Amino acid sequence: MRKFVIFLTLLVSLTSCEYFISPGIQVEPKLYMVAIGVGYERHGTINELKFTKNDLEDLTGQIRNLVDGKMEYEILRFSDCSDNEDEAFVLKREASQHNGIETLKYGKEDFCNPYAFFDTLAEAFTTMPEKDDIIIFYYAGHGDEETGNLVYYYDSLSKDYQTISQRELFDSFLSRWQARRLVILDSCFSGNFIEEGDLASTLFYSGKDSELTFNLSSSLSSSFTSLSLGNKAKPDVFVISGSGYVQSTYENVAGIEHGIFTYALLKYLDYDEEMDEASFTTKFEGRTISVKDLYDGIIKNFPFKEFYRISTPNTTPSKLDMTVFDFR
Amino acid sequence: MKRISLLFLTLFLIVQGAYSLSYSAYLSLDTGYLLTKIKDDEIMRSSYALSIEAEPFGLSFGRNTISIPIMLSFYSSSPEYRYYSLNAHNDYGIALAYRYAFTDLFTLKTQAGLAYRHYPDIDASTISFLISSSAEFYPAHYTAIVLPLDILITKDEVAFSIGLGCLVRLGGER
Repeated sequence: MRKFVIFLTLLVSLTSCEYFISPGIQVEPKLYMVAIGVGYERHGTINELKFTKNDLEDLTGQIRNLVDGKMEYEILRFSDCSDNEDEAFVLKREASQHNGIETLKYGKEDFCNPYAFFDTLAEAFTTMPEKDDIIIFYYAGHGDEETGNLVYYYDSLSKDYQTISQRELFDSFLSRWQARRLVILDSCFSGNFIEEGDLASTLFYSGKDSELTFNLSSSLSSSFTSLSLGNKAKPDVFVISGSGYVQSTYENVAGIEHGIFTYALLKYLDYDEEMDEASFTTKFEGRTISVKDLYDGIIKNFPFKEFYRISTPNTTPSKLDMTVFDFR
Repeated sequence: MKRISLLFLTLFLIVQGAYSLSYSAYLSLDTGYLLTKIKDDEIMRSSYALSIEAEPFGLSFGRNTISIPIMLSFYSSSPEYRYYSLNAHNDYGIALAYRYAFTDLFTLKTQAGLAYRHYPDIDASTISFLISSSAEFYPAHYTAIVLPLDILITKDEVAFSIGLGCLVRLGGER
């Protein structure tokens, strides 16, 4: 039996396509991250979110610590939590080739509609993402109830607000580059941003309190249906959402000063829970982190079972998994 | 003419069956690997495979056996190539199988069926279709070494699996 196992291992190792085919010329990938955290403090009529700033700062800080010294990075942080009374919104850049965080000078007109906002973000990067690079788009804020659209900007005087739809994000922003693309959303109804892949989801609403649970019979029928859909086998954009398309996400639960979805992600990424701040970790030395690892890590670190049922993280259903970070 | 041939064939099988009908059950376990090609993907990706197959109701007449196998297959994730890898998945399938014993030592089995494919890590599923052929070598009366070759087809994907395993047969005469 042992000889057979050794024989089989050798056979697989020697004939596996992945080992046989040269990956070609590969350049060191660079991380480009856009992180948005909106608290609505100045709006007055939209519910204020107290801890999106914590989510934004801790997640970007933890990811910077993970990649620092291992790959180049550029991180853009967009938030409404400015200390300056004259500036409602602020865009900051942190890049591996520069020391510290720079506050970029932009005005209201550069953010006030999604297309101007996307142009501003694209211009704020000092270099253009290439094919092997990774772009992460992170959002913590409100999601529109009907569509899940991201409420990223508001005018504190007119009380008007602006949103980003899934198609605007995918087609007008992320499709500008050929890089690998990952979207992480900690917002209500964010399941709307997950495109149907060539697979069907096995999670379905039970009809009680928007609970999302595994259902075999629904999964079987939707699996048959998915065979006739013309969706892509290899998704252009991978998404991890904090909730299903009719579910909400939550923050400030049991004294946790984060959104619970982002908190689960931070715990997986090994942030310093005791000090509630980004930390340096060796947990991922010599290994990769893929979309599946992140999704799995979020589920395993989800703090409350009762919230998991009504605020269930989702991901793009795909036969292929995408590597986000490679620390080998 | 076609109808008459079909009638004769049915009568032949009934008569043949009445004289030598017997029931058998099979249980097999095989391991191997799977090569998968997905549309838009650059290469064929490889995964380890482990399959368990139970055939509780095999109907034998002469050298022929018809059975309904229930299959359980586990496929590992593939190694990463250019930032992508294949997700691990499990297939739960049912098929219709036909066996013909060429000699006491050698039997060939062919089967076709479909499987519910579940990707446990990402909460996703699909349906796959299976065509399989396997050679069975019987060194002992009720046990065999099996060499299965499977073709699995699902939307935008074709996969081939080869393996090596063992089979236990309960009841029935060969």
